[in-house]
Amino acid sequence: MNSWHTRTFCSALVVAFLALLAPLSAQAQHGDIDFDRLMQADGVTVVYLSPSMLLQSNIRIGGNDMRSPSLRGLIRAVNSVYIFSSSEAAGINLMRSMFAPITQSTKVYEQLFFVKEGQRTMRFVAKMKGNETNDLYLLVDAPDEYVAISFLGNFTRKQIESAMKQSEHSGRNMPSKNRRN
Amino acid sequence: MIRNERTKMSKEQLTALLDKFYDGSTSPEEELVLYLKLLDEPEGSPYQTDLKVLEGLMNGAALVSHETAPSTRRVLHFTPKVRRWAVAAAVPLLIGVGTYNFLHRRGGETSFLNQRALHQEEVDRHAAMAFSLLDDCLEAGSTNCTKAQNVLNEASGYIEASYQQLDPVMDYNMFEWQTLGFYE
Repeated sequence: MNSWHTRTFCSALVVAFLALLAPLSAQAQHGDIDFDRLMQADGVTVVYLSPSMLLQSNIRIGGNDMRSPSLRGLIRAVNSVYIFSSSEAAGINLMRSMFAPITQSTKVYEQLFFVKEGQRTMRFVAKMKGNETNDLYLLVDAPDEYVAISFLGNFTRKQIESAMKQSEHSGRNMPSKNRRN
Repeated sequence: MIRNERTKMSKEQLTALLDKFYDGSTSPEEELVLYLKLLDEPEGSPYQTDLKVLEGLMNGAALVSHETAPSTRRVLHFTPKVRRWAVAAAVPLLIGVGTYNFLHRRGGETSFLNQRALHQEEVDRHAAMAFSLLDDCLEAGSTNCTKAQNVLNEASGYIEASYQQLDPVMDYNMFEWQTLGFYE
């Protein structure tokens, strides 16, 4: 192998390394949350529901009459979903620190509601841009579990308020701690 | 001057100019005048053939002029060093971007759980769980909001009742005391 091939091979390695790094660094952040860090963390389960497959799900579960029409409208506005969860102490602490900017910042993120039931707290937060938002976060913090769900789509304030008001009259039971299982 | 020449030219002058053209003794300006005059001739005119000859001459002259003009295009020369980097960049870049997009799809067609692709049934289950949790939390928020509102309404009622009991006392004029008569 002559010197030209050697130099070409080394050049190829350098370029390939840079090509892999560049898009990773560009998409490491989702707003203020480092989604990539959560994906790489041990003990944190990450689920991503893509738009096309979620659309198929909406078609199938959209006829659920247990939900109010306003909530179904809100669900249909969802394009994709990230679900982060952890039952381990290290993962729970990591998620609390990662999502702290959302719960503490009031200039960027608007807390739509906060509920504390015993030792479990639930927050519904939106990154509002006027009367619209593309990010809705549902954060459930319990001593033995932390769940963070990011709903990505196109939502209006009126849509969200309507869903909250309709839920009041849905007549369902109080939330169960083990509902996810 | 050329425009005036066109309007004033008679048939005899046109014929004479054509003869001069075919003799090869016309100047470029005369050829241009002749060409413009022939353009004015109607279809079916006996001068149509002469017009085609002149058009061919004009096109050939334009082609020769273009070929002999100095080229203003910049030719990019790839030096061996640049060529080496270009070859080195093309293939691994395509592989790298394609691999990244396959593994880290954002908004793409693939759903995943911890880097493992999900089937549609699994997506349905996770979606149902997520939206059910959202529904529960919204209802919990509304329920507790209603409770808080009820408590506030109740407290407001108590306060209003207290004010009503205080009304007789508030209406009493403190400068017109009425003694109880014990010491009269």
